[in-house]
Amino acid sequence: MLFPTLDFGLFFLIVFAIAWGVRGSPTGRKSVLVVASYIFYGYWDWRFCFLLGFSSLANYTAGLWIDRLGDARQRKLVLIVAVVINLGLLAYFKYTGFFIESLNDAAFSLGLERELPFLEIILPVGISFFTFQGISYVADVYRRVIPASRSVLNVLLYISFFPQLVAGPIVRAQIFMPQIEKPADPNRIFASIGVTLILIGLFKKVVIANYLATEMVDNVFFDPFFYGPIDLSLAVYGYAIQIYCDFSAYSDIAIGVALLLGFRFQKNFNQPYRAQSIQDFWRRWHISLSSWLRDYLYIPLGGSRAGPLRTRLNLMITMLLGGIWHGAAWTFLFWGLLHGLGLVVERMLGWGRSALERPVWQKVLATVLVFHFVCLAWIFFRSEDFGTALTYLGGFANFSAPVEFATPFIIGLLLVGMSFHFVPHDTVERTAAVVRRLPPIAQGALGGLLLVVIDALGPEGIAPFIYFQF
Amino acid sequence: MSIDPNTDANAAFQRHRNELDITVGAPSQRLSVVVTILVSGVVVAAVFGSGAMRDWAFELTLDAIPGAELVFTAADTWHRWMDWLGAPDVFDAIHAWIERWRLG
Repeated sequence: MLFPTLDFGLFFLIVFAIAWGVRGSPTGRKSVLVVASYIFYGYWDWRFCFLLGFSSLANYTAGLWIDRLGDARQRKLVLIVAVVINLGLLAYFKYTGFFIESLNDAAFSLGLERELPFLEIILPVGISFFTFQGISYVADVYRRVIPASRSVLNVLLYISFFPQLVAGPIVRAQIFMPQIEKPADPNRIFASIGVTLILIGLFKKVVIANYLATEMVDNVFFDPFFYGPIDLSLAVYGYAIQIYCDFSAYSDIAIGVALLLGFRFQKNFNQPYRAQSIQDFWRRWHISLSSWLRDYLYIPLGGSRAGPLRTRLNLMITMLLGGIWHGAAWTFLFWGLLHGLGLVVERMLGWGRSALERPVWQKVLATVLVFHFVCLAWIFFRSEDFGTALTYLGGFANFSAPVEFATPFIIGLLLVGMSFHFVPHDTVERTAAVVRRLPPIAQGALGGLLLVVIDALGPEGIAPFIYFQF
Repeated sequence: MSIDPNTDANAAFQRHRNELDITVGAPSQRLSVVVTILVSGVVVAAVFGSGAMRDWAFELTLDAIPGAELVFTAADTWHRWMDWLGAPDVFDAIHAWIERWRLG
């Protein structure tokens, strides 16, 4: 069930009505939200509801077990078992095909003719997200940041809550659990911000991201051989804007939907293309993933406190795993490698740390350079394979190709998409405050009209969100 | 300096916790207000988004709505603008949608 569809709109209205209708019974409300989340998930493939249930129950059991144990070594052992179960599921469903293909390629290059059989494994949507949420829950119980939940319903809801289930944000248990343990407060709903976020998200996805994909990006990345430097530049800028508008739109809508249901998630994007260093970029892009990698991988590896060499190694490991988390392909690994190298070089030169004290022209230059580095890495991220990425890069020297996409329409889309980065960072809050001065009926009418306008402006059909594949 | 992955990781998270909360200092609303907003939004979206619903609810044609002329002038302007932008397909989709809407 995709957010920008009538199916989801109706689904949400029903869930909203029932969940608030039974607010007097916390267990009833949680049960409604769990059932709704499983219906939402089962809409793609009902069989994977069992996987989601298994993951939740395994983490619930592990959390309880860790909480009851006093011995540090035993607690650690249970944590390791839980992490292995979580990562095992992810590895089987997401990486088995990739490993078999890579092994076969390696065998072929060594002259071995025997091939391992190819397994067709369907990737359960959102598995990377709910796996990471599960790990963060058991790790936080292990670290005694949160107590283990005695209620299986709480853990089922935490892992499966439908707004963030399939494409994040990756919500921490310490943020979410206290909210489900408290009774819902009908006098404290952040509706203006929620509705504003949903409408902004719909505009970014339905109008900007979908047009950029269908009008330019998909065509150019399908076969970059036919295009010259101007079209290739526009297409990679276009993809940078598309993936931002697509993914941040999902987060905006997820946060908005959760707010209407009485739950608060944290911001997942903070104008990432304004970053003045790669480190700054990762503090602004997919914040819930980058902070997850920092807290559950980079810091446990030793972080930056174990000497410069070890810090660089930790950065590389973190970014390589962050890359492969996005998809089972060498291009994603290489994308992670590029960002890892960027972070290491930046650290060696001291660029990341001094960003705030630079003169204005240096800040502007740094922003432009970081944006172009990120765009270069996006070429590998978006390309089907290395060959396509190299063809893409080679095309920058193909000056004989005609220019096809330098139209005012495309450039206008790029400028509108980029404009989200150069408005005040609290624009959503300010807009919501202005809208809130209107009478409630007028607020709703305005929202309804904008919904119709957004639908009319977008191209026909709704493409799935890019991050569903991860 | 030795590192404690338990406390250090959580401290890193806590440092940025409030910066990322979009609702800090934001005003909230009562459930009755939220329900009013949603119901009015759904009614307006349904009426303006669907010819069948509009006819069923109000038995109006678009021509009968004050300002319909303005809507069509705006649509024509958009058409010319899109032609100029080099993406007439966009308008064709919107025009077809408006026609379906107008005719119910």
